[in-house]
Amino acid sequence: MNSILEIENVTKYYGRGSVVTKALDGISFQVKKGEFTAIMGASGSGKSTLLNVISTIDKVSSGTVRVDGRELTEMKETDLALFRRDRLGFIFQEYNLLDTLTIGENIVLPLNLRKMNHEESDERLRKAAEALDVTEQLGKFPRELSGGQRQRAACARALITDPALVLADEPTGALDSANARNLMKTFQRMNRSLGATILMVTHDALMGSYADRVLFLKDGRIWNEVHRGERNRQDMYREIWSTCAALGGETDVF
Amino acid sequence: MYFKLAFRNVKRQLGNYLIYFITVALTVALLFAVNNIIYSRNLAVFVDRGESAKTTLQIIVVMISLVVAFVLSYATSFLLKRRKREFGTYLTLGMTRRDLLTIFLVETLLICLIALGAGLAAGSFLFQGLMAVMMKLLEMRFAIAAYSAEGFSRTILLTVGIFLTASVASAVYLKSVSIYDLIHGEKKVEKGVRHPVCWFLLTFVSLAGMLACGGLFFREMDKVLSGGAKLEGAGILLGGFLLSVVGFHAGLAKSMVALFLRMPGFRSRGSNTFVLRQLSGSLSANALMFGALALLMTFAVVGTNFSFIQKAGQEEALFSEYPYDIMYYSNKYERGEEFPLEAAESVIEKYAGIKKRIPYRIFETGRQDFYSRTRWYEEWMAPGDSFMPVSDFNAVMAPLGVEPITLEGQYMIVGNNPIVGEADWSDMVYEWGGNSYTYHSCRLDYPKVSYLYFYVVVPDEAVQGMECVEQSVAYLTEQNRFDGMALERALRQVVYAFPDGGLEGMEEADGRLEFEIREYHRQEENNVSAILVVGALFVSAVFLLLAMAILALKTLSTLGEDRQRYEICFRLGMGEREQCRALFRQTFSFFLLPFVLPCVMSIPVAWFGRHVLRIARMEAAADMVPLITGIVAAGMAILYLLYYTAAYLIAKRTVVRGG
Repeated sequence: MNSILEIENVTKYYGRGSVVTKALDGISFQVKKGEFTAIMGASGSGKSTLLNVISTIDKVSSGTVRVDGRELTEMKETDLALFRRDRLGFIFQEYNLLDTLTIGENIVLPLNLRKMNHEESDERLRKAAEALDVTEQLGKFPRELSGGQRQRAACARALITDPALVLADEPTGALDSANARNLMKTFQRMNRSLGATILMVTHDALMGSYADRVLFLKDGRIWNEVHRGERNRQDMYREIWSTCAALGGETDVF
Repeated sequence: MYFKLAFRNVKRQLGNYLIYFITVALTVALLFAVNNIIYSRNLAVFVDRGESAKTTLQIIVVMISLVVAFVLSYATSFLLKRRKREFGTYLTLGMTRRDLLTIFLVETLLICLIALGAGLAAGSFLFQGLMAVMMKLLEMRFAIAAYSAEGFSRTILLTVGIFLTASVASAVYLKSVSIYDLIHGEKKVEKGVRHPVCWFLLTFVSLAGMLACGGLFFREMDKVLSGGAKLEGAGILLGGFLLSVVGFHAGLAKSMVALFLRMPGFRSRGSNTFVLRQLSGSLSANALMFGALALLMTFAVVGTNFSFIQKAGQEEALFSEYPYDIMYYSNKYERGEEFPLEAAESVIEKYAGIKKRIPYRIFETGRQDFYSRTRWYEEWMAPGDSFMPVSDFNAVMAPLGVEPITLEGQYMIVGNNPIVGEADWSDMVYEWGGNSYTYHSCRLDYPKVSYLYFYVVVPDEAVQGMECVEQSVAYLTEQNRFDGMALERALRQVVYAFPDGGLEGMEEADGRLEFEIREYHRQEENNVSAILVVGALFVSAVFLLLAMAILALKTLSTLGEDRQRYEICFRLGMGEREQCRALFRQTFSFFLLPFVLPCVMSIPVAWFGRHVLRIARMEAAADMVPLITGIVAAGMAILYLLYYTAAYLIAKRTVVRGG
């Protein structure tokens, strides 16, 4: 399989002068096409920073980030915006749906930004909504939906552009456990049926167990890595749990 | 501690306070300038009607201050609401509401004090600028005007009053709002616009109403100006127009976005849906406010334009009304005995010098042959017919550049009133002294040398046998500019010193004077137009300023929510340039909506002003009207751009996310 994401020796510093924090410390890893990867770690381990540099929202201090064969660290701001629009999909903890737009308008917004004609974008909207089971909610505003429905709508928005990589930042953080499990099943469906490559940051071992691979971060470095292989989810969960315990028990374990 | 906190807050919130600061500073500047004009000693000497002008301006200033106080209350509540989460946190940390109010009032007081300083500084220059305008209008030589202590103290007093009024609104809000609402925000449920087609219909009907009421009002005014008809239903038409303005803006704000959102091709392009949805809530929620602001600005445009148009027509109106430097009208029915004109002429000689005197006469027959064909006769308002020999007519018209006329067995009607133009004498043969005279022409365009509705110019021999009722004199003076006021006072003394002046029951001070002195009227009208122009400028500037301030503050009050939305768009791949474009379209449309109509109103106002001046045969002034309205519109646009740019830059800095 081809690598969709290649991270090489990425370092990220915050602050200046005597008060400098090293958030990422020479991280290197790859994510292959069609892979569902989770990143776990304690607070301050660098998970969110890593996601931010991959999503081009933040810049690296050194090292390279390559997505879909393109070197992000050398791209200009305008190109980065276009790249985000065309090649990346985002799912956030707080859904980040625009409260002024209907669910349909939220989902189709990335296509509008691409200036795609409305017949084609309507067709894509229909397919994405069906795939994520939000067809009934397209005309409603976000506040009229439950948390689970909102997050499914966010998934539909992330997938509608057929992105090279879907980035999810604590996507279950604002959901109850039932909705969280349903969302993870949706992620698996997106990954297996729709072929989406997903990189998810979570601190929840149960959610991590839905992924094919889990990277553990500690102090800005990759501390460990767990692969599902042929194991079922319960076995994967147990291994994540024990890795977390070894990591220092700072991660929530259900 | 609270003072320290407040001081830090002001430093941190400078961006938020910018619009508030600009508004307070400009208001103080305007108040200071106008208060100094009111109490200016330079003007008191020259403005003849000083006391009434002073009172008028004082009333305007107080009224405007009340409006400013109301708007600033509105502005302060915006500032409060923008920071409610911060205030909620203070409350949860154990501060009392009184502490909170103290912090906020100290903050606004600091801003007001700085704005007061800046406003007084700007007002000092503005005062000199307005004084220069006043001096120009009063045809006085400009000199740096002295500032008055009373003007200064009144400005401070008004500013304190405005600040206190605005503070009450903040106190009421902070006293009543719950901690939950402060921290979590009031749950605003955005409702989509229901029945946008109905709102669109309201827009359309209001537009039709505006055009109909405006058109009918202009037509009525036209009839009054050109035919002397009474103005009927003006109040209803004006009321209908104002109501239509509000309805039009309310309807447009409610329907425009909703209708655009129904166009799939349009809304799917780029960030159009996002911008339309951003606008949808704000336009719909502020629909009535747009109507009110459009009204304020329309008043500003119309008032300023007409004050300048009046000024432009003043000089021509003066020459049309008083073609000679001085005219003496003598009517035997008003003055029984012969008046000693020599005494008056020696006074004129002293003040202005007499270059030429042209006597002319008016005769009467006691009949109403000519008046019987006019509307006045039907209305029982017709006096007896008046006649002027053609030699007298040619003599009095010649110095005014009028070609002499010849009448052989003919008569010519000369008048200034449009009603004269309605009558028809073309088939009338006038019989007098055994002779017959046929119709020559009816002219309304000769310089005015008589107060009669009209007079009939006849061959010299025709006045034989008629009674001479007026022996008037027109004077050309040696000096073009002289002290008309002083001459008027001196002539009044001469006239009223004459025993049995025949002007029964009249006191010297308010009685009629048989002399018309053009320079006296020029100075009088200068006074009126100076007050009118400066008053209109002041009121318009304040109205515009307030309208812009409200729009800017409304824009800024939602920046917190906008910031989150633009952040999401940034993450979804909306580049900085696209965000700027979206923000520009969003804010510009919001600002533009109430501004378009007042600007467009410049066109009918200019057309009407020009039309009125043309009716009055003031061609030169009429030609100046487009320039005047252009300048007024440009002035408005500059103020608009100043506020819009400030609001846009603050919004851009706050919401647009770059790399």
